[in-house]
Amino acid sequence: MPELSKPYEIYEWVDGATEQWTVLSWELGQLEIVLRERAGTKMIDVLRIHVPPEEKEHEPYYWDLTSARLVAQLRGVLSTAGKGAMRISVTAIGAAPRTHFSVTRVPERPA
Amino acid sequence: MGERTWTPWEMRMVGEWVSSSFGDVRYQTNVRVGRIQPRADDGTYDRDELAMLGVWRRFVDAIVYLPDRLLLVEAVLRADPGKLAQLELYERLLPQTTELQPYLHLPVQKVLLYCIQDPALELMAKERGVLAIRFTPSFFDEWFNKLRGRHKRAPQLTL
Repeated sequence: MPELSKPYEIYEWVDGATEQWTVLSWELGQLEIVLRERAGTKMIDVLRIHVPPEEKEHEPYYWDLTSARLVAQLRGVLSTAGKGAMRISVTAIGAAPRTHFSVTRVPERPA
Repeated sequence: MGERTWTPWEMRMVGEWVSSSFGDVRYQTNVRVGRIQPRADDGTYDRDELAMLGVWRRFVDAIVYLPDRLLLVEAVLRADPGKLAQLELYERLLPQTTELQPYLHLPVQKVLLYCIQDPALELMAKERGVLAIRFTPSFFDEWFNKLRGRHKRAPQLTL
């Protein structure tokens, strides 16, 4: 997997936070992180989601999501979705590093 | 020895299935079900603390909110009859799930998504009113090639 271009915009989740985004496109890659518990670095998988300017306060208009649980869910949801933007809502449940995530597809035409 | 990495394959699988099977429909992955413990009305915890404690609730892999019914979905790559009991438990927990109250008038269809077939599971699912659906995710080869020989198929025990 390619290393993602800088700058990184890693989204920091807080327990109970919910974010709603319109995902215009996405890319999967890796970035290097510094390990807290021991000296050294590690490459981790990252999902970069591109969002409209009105959904983020400043450039670049994307977020880098690093949780393995969240990346797995979103890869599944986004990989087979039709072309075009997709509205999603993500809720973080629990504190890092054991945060769980719930992903909701928000339909364009609510039932 | 290389570092072992954990891959949440089944989370990805259920995401692929709901996304490819349903169009402009609301669906949700990794949904907490059951009552928040302790009960909100005992006054011990405020709203934020209760939300935090809610992490101890159980998670169903996905819920699909169809106009005429709810689909309660569990996914497993290698069929496992234990998943049937999980689905039954989650269905029983739905009435206690505050967030799902607006949908509880709808009938519930339990769905077990699997990849590697198990004849015993299919029979048991049918008996328990669970819709067993075979689904091959896009990452099948990548996952399958990491399995050891005997894990590449389910027990061929028939009932």
